[in-house]
Amino acid sequence: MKWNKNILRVLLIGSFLAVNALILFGISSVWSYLNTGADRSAILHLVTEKSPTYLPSVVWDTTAVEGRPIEQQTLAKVERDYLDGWLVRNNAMATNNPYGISDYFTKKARAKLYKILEANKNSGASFVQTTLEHFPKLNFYSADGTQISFLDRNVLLYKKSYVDGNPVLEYKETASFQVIMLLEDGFWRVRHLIRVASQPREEEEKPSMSDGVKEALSNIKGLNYYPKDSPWDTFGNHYSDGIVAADLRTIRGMGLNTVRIFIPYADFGKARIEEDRLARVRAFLDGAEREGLQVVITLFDFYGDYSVPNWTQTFAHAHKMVNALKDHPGLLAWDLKNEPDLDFEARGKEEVLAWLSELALRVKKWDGLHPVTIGWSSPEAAVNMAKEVDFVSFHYYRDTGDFISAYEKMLGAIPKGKITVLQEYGKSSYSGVWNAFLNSEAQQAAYYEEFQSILDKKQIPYLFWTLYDFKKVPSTVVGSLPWRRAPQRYFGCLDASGKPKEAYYIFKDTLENRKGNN
Amino acid sequence: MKWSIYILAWFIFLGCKERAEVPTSNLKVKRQTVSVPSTVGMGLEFEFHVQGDGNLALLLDSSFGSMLFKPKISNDKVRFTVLPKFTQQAGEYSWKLLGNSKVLFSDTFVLAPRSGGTHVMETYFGPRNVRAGGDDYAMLTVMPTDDYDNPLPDSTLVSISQQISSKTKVFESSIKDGIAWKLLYGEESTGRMLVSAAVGNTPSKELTAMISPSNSRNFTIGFERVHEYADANQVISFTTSVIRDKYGNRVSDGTLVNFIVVNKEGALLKSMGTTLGGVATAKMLHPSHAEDWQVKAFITGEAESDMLKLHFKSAVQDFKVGLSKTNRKITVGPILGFMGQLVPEGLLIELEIYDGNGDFIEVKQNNSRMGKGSFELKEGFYPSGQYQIVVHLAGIKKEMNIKLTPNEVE
Repeated sequence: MKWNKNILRVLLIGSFLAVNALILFGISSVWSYLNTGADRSAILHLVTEKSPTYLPSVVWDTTAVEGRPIEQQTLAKVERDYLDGWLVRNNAMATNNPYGISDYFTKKARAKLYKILEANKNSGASFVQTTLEHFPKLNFYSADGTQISFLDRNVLLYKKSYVDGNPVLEYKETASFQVIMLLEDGFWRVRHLIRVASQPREEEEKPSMSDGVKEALSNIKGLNYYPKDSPWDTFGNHYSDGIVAADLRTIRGMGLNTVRIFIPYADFGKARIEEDRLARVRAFLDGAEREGLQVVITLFDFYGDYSVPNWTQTFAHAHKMVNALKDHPGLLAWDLKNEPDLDFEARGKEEVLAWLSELALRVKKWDGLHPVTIGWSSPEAAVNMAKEVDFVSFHYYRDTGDFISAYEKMLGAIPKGKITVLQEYGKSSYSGVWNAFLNSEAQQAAYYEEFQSILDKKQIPYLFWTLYDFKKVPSTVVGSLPWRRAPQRYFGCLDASGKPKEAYYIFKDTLENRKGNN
Repeated sequence: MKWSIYILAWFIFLGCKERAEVPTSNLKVKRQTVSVPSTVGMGLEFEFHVQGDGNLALLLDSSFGSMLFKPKISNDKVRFTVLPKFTQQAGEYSWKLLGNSKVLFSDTFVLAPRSGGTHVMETYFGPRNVRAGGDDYAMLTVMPTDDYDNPLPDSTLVSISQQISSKTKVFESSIKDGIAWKLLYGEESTGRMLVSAAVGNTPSKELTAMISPSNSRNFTIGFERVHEYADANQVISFTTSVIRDKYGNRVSDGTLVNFIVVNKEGALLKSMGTTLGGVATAKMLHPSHAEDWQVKAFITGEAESDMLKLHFKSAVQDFKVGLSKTNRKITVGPILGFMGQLVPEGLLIELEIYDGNGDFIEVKQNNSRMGKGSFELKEGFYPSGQYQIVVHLAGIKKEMNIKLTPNEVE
């Protein structure tokens, strides 16, 4: 009886303590939640200068300015405010909401804009637009530095019109604008904006791919590369010249000649390229060149927003990357985006294709020498934009037996004579709980043996997936489901400790045999 | 049974809706009239002959943005009317006739600003301050617009008037890129520059710039004082000559002039004044002892005066030092000035005290009052014994050895 009483006591006191602890925990979490939020220093607006987000390419001509010569600093400020004016106007046209207009247009100018916005609001029309190129020619800058006049020539506009939210027409146009701006309240504001007749510039004839490039593309034998300890992050802080050099030597030793690498968009600093990352890419290309390997650079990895307002930023990123690397002898080709067709559903096929075709145009303009391709995720998707790319790249992870028919179907749907590259294929040697132990290294080797003979027969250039097994796969790559992540780790020819798997010898042998036969 | 009819009805309804959205491709459109005026503010008419079905719309791109217009359909005619208020902007317009999201017709046209009629003059003038001499200029920028706020076309003539000291000049300028401008130079004399502009019969408002004097030239200085004695009481004032620039304009009122005095010891004393009517005045207290001053005035970075030399005589010839019975109270004076009068209040008296070995102990200061000053050496600080004291007054020095004795106990 006494013993029972003690149990009762312990239970009572224990539950009392537990309830109290819970109450305290509850109060403290409410308290800490109420204390989250904006930092108090934000009241002071100390960080007012944001990094610009509207970055079309702008090329000034200041060779014949009347009034007085322009200072570089003023010109930069005029350019910033003028472009911000375009930004707020683009936003206003898209939403029919005049937010921000009053900062960048004088009172009389904004009245004209409001009239259009009001009418569009009533008719349900809206326009998503962006400009890609400006070639302003400065005509006049006043002696007291408060008025400026320039002719913004051949502005390349991309527009998409909507009625009640339904797309009506997507079009590009070139227009020139006579602009007068006034310095008011520290802002350069648009006073007059007059569209004038423009003479579209002569598009210089693009040289078609040289025979050397064609040959190099047809002879691609290579792989998709990530270092073993930092997969999906080649140029991050784990980058090491030594590791890369050793890996490139291994790749060379397998008799391969091409490596495909990936440039993550956000990690490289978006429109403002991080110099250290860029230096690592250069070092990588140097290393590849030393080993006699060529490199296919895939841009915009881990980026999936194709919306028009972000175009100027993404193009600025691509422009800087292409300009920085286009003269490197180790570079073989530009791959604009890895598997963009997977975003068709989420982002809209038209939006994705519009961005890609504009990007393809731009990259070809910046770099006339290196071919451009897109890494489609399947032969079926690779028929998209086949005319616009210099060679067609596709990935294939399905059954080996269906490859030929899928490939031939694709060939029938793309322009004749286009070089096609099987840019990703491979098989995981993962054998574990998630696939009922149904796989093995031997099976992987068999897969490659079969596939290589097909590719050999069909003369298809290839880049397989991949060099190494990985200890870890970031959840951003295949999601966090373990039955997806686990197999993704075992696609290598070398295991995670660097030891060759069976597939490695298959590769080495077939390539060596082939070399021997030649 | 009821339910199945209901569901059937829904299916039929949905089916109908679906069907209505399918665009038909047998659309044929013929362009009939497209009336486009050449100037702003007139409105536009587009008429097309249509066969078949299609969501027709007119897309109009102009300077500030794009607009979509819906048609009025009557039988096989489709008519788009663009109201005059949407064509008030000059410049290039580009229109597209859309049918089923395809461009059927497109063209561009240019609307010129309205000539004749009333204009609106927008003028900017700056900088608003020009230095005299005829080298410096202000710029008048004229942006005349028509009554819809469109800049007037290139090579429209603008007449610009300038008036300086009752003389009026008229210049002609022509508009280029929406702007006409003219550099307007000042003259050698100071004053105001009035400018205005006109296009046709439309005048602008009046704008003003000041023509301010140019850099000052060197000048001379003079002084004025009540007497030449260093009594540390009177104030001497320095005055510049009328300071002018090289064109003879008096410098602007408020120009700062620094007066620098170098005394006998080489110390710098400074006073300053600002000009009024070209003349600056600065004041300084007389020294307390005989002095030689060298005075020079400067307008920093621009001009300087000649050198002025001044002598101050000592105001005091001699004075007496009296001692109390215990020698602990030292009385200086009566101090007599240059006319034999008691010196004014406030003349500085210094007493240096040394001990018997000649080691310095302290300096005591006092000011004259009723022509006298006194010091007390208290017993707590100065034990009895031999001391040496020195009295300084108006540059005169008196030394004596004294013996301090205890105060008598009463």
